[in-house]
Amino acid sequence: MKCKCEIAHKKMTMALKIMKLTIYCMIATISISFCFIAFGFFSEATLGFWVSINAVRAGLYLSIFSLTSIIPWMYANRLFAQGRRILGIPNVLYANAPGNFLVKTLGFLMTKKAYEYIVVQIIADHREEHFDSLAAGNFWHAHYVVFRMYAFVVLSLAMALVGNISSAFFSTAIRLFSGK
Amino acid sequence: MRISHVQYEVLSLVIQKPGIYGLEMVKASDKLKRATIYVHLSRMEDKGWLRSEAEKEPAVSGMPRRRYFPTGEGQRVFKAQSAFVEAYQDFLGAGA
Repeated sequence: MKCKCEIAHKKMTMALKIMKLTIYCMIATISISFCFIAFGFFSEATLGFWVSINAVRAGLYLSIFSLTSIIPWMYANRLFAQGRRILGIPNVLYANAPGNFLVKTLGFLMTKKAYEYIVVQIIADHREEHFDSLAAGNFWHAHYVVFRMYAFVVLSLAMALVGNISSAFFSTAIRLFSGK
Repeated sequence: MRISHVQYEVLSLVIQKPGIYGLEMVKASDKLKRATIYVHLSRMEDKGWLRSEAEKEPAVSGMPRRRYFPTGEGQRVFKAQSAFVEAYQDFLGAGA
């Protein structure tokens, strides 16, 4: 049986989610409206010859879009995080550990030995480093570790593949030439 | 028996500290690289120079690490290579 505080907490979380969605929709609408207004304003008569160049026009639209959508979106997120903190709702994000996709796909595609001896070990090393970086608040390094993990998995598999193919090729060649 | 300098380095680390795992080896040596260490370890195990065991309980990452131990053959290869390296260094020293 759920206690009253748990039900209230769930209701509060749901209300916050709905509010957040509404604000995101408002921001998107306002941003699109600004772009339409700008469309009418950006003409040679108002801003001169430079506006007729497509690249300049695209840059102007992009800056209007970022000013009217990305910045308000960032502030809205910050405001909601503060709101959750004030209301005592934990701001926890549940996400898959890095390399989850690799574990699922390569575990299915590769041989058990190659998967356990190469892929699992690389992912284990990088996950540990990723968690350490996150705990230290070093988010950019944590992202870099994930990128490096994918690169190392690809590199190691390529190296193993080239090694296997070349050893098979040379052993066959030696067998053929020695006549055994 | 051919042995590369990376394999020699791996064998020396595993003999010094049996039960070492890949990342520890990379941290302990400048010659070993993260991207290639596991391929080398896998090949050395195929040659019978090392044996490995997966940890019973997975680490923080949720994935079981493999710990490496030297085999008798691995120790023999390492001793032979060490003797060769010493003889070669003596030869170079005598030449200079």
